[in-house]
Amino acid sequence: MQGTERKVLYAALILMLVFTVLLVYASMGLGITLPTCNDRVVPFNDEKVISKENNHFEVHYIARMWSFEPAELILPENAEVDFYVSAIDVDHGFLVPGTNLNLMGIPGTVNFAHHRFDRKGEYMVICHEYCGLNHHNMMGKIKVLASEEYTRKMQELTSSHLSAGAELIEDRQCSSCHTSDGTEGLGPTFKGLYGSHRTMADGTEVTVDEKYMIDSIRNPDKQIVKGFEPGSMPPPEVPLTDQEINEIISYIKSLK
Amino acid sequence: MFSDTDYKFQIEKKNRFVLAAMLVIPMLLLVLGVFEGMLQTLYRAGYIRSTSFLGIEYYQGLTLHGVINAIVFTTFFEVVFGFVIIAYYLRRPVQSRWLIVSFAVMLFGTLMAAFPMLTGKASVLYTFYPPLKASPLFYLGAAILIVGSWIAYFSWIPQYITWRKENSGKKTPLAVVGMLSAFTIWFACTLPVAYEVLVLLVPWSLGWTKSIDVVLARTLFWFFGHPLVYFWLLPTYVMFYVMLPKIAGGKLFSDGAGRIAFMSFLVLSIPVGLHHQFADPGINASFKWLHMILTFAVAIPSFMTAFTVAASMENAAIARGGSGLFGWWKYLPYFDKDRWLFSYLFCGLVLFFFGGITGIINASGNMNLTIHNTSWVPAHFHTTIAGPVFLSFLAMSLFLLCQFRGVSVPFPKMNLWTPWLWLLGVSIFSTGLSVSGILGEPRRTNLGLSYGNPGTDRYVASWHMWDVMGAIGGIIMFLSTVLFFINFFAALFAKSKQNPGEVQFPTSEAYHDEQIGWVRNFKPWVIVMVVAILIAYVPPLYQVVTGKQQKAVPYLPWNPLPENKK
Repeated sequence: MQGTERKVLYAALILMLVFTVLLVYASMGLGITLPTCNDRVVPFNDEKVISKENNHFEVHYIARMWSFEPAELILPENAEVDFYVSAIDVDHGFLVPGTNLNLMGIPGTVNFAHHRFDRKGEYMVICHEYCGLNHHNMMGKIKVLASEEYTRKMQELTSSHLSAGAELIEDRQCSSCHTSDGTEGLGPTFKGLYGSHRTMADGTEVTVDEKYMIDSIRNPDKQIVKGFEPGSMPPPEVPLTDQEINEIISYIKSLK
Repeated sequence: MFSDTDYKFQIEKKNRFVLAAMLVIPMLLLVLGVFEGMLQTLYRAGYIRSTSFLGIEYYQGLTLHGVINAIVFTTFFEVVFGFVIIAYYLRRPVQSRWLIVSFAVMLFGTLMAAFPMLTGKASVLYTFYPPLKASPLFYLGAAILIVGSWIAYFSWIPQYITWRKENSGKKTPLAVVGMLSAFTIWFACTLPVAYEVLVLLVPWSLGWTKSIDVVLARTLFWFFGHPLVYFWLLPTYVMFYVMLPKIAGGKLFSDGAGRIAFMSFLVLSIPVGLHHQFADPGINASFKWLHMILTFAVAIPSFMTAFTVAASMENAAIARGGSGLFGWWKYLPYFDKDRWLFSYLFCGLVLFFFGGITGIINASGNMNLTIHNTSWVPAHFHTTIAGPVFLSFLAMSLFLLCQFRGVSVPFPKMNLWTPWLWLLGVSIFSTGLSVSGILGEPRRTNLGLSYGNPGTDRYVASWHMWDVMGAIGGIIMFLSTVLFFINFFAALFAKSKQNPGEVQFPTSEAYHDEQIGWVRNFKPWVIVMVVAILIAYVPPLYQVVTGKQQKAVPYLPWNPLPENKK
């Protein structure tokens, strides 16, 4: 090797060494660590928000095709949060822009990261790994509120708890394809669905009423809306009871 | 580009027909591949707000773009380039029988994988992570394509050994060292992915096994996935070291630097795959740190290459009348029809400067948390694989086709503009995607239906303008490839003028022709390579295999319920 070249080689080595030292500092000094093996929590199928002392929280996130649970996480300012992420079907991502939260959700394992939310506001939770044809709609929210506002919000939520229908829509995975806020999913959105007019594949026009909704939930292929293929919507895995169907329909009716 | 001293080599008719077919068939697929690439930028900027365009679904198009551009086009090109380089520099005839066998096997595998991709049965992207499931034909086809390229590699080894015996004491031609390094890396790193495909994925996809270990599958994939980039890069380095200095009108600054670089890549290309899994659970962080440091080590031969290539260009510029510390830059043949390969290689080098820097950022574990799986990542690899690699592969494809057919470049002026247009397009595209990536925009996502659509509550205004920039760059890149395709297919049908099949490579002399004993033999380096792989991969694989993770059942991309519960 020629003289100048040797100098370049040493310069490159020193540069990479400096980078390494900086990264070690970021890890040890600033506490920005990489996800590692985690045996504290085994893979779970239930979302959980555990509020602990001193503004500490433990949140168990479910990532599934194509939603996060909890869909909306509400936290007080300066919350110290341990995030556990479990993907229950395929690979998912868990990215919160504006933070260092960036995890892969891998089926069969639990991923972990810690974050302190020292800034109020609304954060997005984005699935950044391709997880099937509706991947682009897989998003959750984290709302960080000032502490008085947070206390008020929590009281509100406990008094008027989410309707049973809304929970069923999550649990039975209707929300994977049908959104509740008017955005386009694989199926029609629930917002404004009740009372709307639909054109069937055979050209007839129907109004979405209770009977139509009951039929469509029980037997999705009985009446096909124009533009959809038979078989697009799988029937419920475990048949829904009459009570449950009524709860779902009341919830959809409320989405105007 | 040449001088009279450059050796001329006659390829017989049958061989050059097969070699030309191996360039032309993937080039036809590449037309679809780059078109789907441009569509991605239009979807992301919200100009296409739909799940599909012209009958191809978004994620199906993304799968086609990745598999065709990064696997099919590159592998076919490298096999052709390898056959010609080995024959030319070792002064041996092309081995027809092995050429035909490897071509047939590769083509068979490609068609087998193309069928499910085109019919929407394999929309799993080119990383094919389980438990999203594709048709078994997709996995098998990809494996067969790889095996076809092994056949080519195996046929070169005896030719190389015979040459060594007959030329003891002589240095192996640098181009041959480069191509053999590339294919040795390729062979070693395709073994784990072949295991993933044949032992884990195919039986699972056929329903013979119920569930799969996703962490293991991902680890085996990236065991292959990063060395793959050096398989792409090394033929480009062959062009940088062996041909670029001569084309520019100078000498290679240091022959020894080239040999050291190729041997370093042999050792350091493979034990780095975990840097793609920094955000994964199920793998101990200490193993991630080990791979991070090794990734930094593999940056060193690229730093050396940057220096040597720049020094060689300085040497050329001075020979052309340039002088001064920086003044010599003005004396290079940036727009010279007779030295058009220089324009392609130089534009690639410019992009690679940024690709190298962003690559070091990606490899930096905790910095990676900012950009992992964001659009920053495609911005990065469009300045590496779609930078020097793509440009040099296109240029060499055209260069070889013209020589196989005995024609000159049909539209030389247009050909000269092609790489500059590409440089402009990628610069705009990658700037847009880099910024939106830092802001948190995910890659591989049909943004037009969600984050890029002002009609939804998912719309993110701060990303949008950068996606518009991405689309402008994407359109320019596409136009550049159109110019290229016009030249390539015109060369295919042009009337032969010169002697068809006469191949001649511009081959640089060395300015410093060092005699370095310890880089003259592959054997010790291959042993070090194997040891490095064992050190880097046995502990994490042992941990993954004995880990407590549960296995996963298959899902199809369009159904949130498991496949067997339909």
